[in-house]
Amino acid sequence: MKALILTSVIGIATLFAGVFKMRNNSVWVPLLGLLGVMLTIVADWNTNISWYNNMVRFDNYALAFSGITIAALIFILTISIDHYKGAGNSIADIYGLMVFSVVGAIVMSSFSNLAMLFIGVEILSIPVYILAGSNRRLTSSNESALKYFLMGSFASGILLFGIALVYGATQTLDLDQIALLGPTVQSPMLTIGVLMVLSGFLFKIAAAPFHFWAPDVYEGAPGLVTAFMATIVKTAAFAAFFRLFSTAFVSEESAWFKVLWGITAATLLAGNLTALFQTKMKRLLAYSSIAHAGYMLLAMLTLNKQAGGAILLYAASYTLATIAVFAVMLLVSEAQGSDSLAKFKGLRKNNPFLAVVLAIALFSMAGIPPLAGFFSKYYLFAIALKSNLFYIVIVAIVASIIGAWYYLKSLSMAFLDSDEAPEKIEVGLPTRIVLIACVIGALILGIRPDLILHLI
Amino acid sequence: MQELLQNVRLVPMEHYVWLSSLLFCIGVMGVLLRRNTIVMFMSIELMLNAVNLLLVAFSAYANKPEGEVFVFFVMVVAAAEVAVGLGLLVMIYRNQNTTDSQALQTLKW
Amino acid sequence: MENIEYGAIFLQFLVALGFVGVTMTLTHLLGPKRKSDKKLENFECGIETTGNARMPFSIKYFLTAILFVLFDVEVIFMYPWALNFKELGAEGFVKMLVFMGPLLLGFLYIYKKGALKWE
Repeated sequence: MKALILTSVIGIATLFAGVFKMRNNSVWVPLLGLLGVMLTIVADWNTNISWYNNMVRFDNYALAFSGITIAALIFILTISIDHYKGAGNSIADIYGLMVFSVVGAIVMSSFSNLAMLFIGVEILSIPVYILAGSNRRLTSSNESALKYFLMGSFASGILLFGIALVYGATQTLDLDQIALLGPTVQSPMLTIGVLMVLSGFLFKIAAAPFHFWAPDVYEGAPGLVTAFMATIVKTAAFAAFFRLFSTAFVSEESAWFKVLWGITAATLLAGNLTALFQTKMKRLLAYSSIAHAGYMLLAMLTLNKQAGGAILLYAASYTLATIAVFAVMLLVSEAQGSDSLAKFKGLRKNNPFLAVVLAIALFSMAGIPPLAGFFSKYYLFAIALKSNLFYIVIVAIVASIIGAWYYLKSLSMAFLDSDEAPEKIEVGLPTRIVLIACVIGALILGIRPDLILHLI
Repeated sequence: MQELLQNVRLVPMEHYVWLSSLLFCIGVMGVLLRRNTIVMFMSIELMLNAVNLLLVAFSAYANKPEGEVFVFFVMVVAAAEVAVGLGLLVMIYRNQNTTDSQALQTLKW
Repeated sequence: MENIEYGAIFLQFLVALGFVGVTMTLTHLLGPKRKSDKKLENFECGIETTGNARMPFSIKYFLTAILFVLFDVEVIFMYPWALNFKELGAEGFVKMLVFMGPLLLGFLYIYKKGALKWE
């Protein structure tokens, strides 16, 4: 609860830092504040208190996922010191919106009432609609914002209708009571409601039949915002998804299990296969994020409390790798004027440091052994096999082999020689710190995955 | 208050469910079929309001206030969405001079 | 019982419609009428109108309207509080102040940003 309140206050403070002309220094308000929030999360560990008539409950699950989203935001803000250098007055507003969005992420990982779930989803989404359009003069940014807005609010409409039907069937919005009453309710409204909540979530995480908006939105939005969507929004959506379906809706498993099985397979294949044909880095990362959503959906299928730890580990390693790749991509596209894969040519000669970071991050995403990405995938598959999900694991393994192909293909670009003499890419100190932190994080989680796996 | 709830209950609950489902479907079809983004936007609002009706009906039948209080939150969220959505539309109208969704198709694979 | 309640709603409808109808016909009948092409044209040096008058809208009005909607809708949370004002007592009052505080901060923010400047 401290984390939630403190983050909200930081959001307001950030907005006012912009109003009172702190221009270039306004980033320090959210940055230092969020470090403080991390401390409160550590202090609250193992407390497990529910607040306000069980509207939110800050158990270790909630704290761990809040911690990941806040850490990701700290990384993104640090990169933005370099990236937004010399930006106008409204920069503090962008930071403020990002902080407010993370407030939504905290609510989504700690809710224990369906009303809070809806409010959390909206607090998370509404600032991101604005952020996607924050490059006002660019048509692609406008289009991205509008598409994201229409799809996002459409999805929350469906989610809300599902919540209403569940409320009608069980007469309560409280997760614990729904879990208690669920098996006794015979009404078809509960089944339909659960399925509508499911499809609302699948829209938000861009799972396969509902994923068509994601590449357009990711490509059009400004780079840092795309990194924000790919990491924080996705992690928060999964935190809420798993929290809801592993507790309240377990009794309705017969209704959603087969649907989710099919969607997981479709997401894994669609994401990885379409990514093969991409020529732009941002779009490739969009499809890769769809594919990674597929792996995390695999954990949902196990109906296993332990799967929470596996999702947490996966989200953490995915976040680290994604932020590193996005940071490199921002630098390259800034220097070369485009994010197409061909522009990565000659990166090894131009800036060996960036090339090595890109290599480690992409290796982690592809799941090459000593890195975090490998072990997080390994644990997901192991849990799935323990729950006798044999066929879907085969699909996932095939998908991850396809995935390795396009990650290595785009990486090989960086190690090819370029025909033209590329412009020198300078890496600022803040970005350098983030990149090193991401690489070290990926290595540590690769060597000691149990650090995170058994947190919750 | 109690009298009001009784009046709500004069209509069978299925009717409320059918009515709001119908309204919701009109909203969904509006989003899917219309080309003008403002109309699409209004259809989304219609979807949210259909849910509000449903929540109030359920709340009256269950004789519990949660649903009604939730409606307040939904309305506030809808207002925030209106503000953001109209802001985006005005921004696009200034740049493109249109709000037709077909005009916004520059991003493709 | 229900007949009486519906009757009241029906009466309300009649009154509302009647008021609109009566005022519209009255202004129509009472107002002076002089119609001619000259009268409908622009006065002396005005420019000939082109296009549809309903298309353009001032961004200035738009911002004010949106801000109105945002702050107006927050009143919703005051209705339940007002209905139970006595039962909630001092604690409810403090909670409402906590709610209004951030709202006032938001107001201060848009004021400082100059969103309320009229020219």
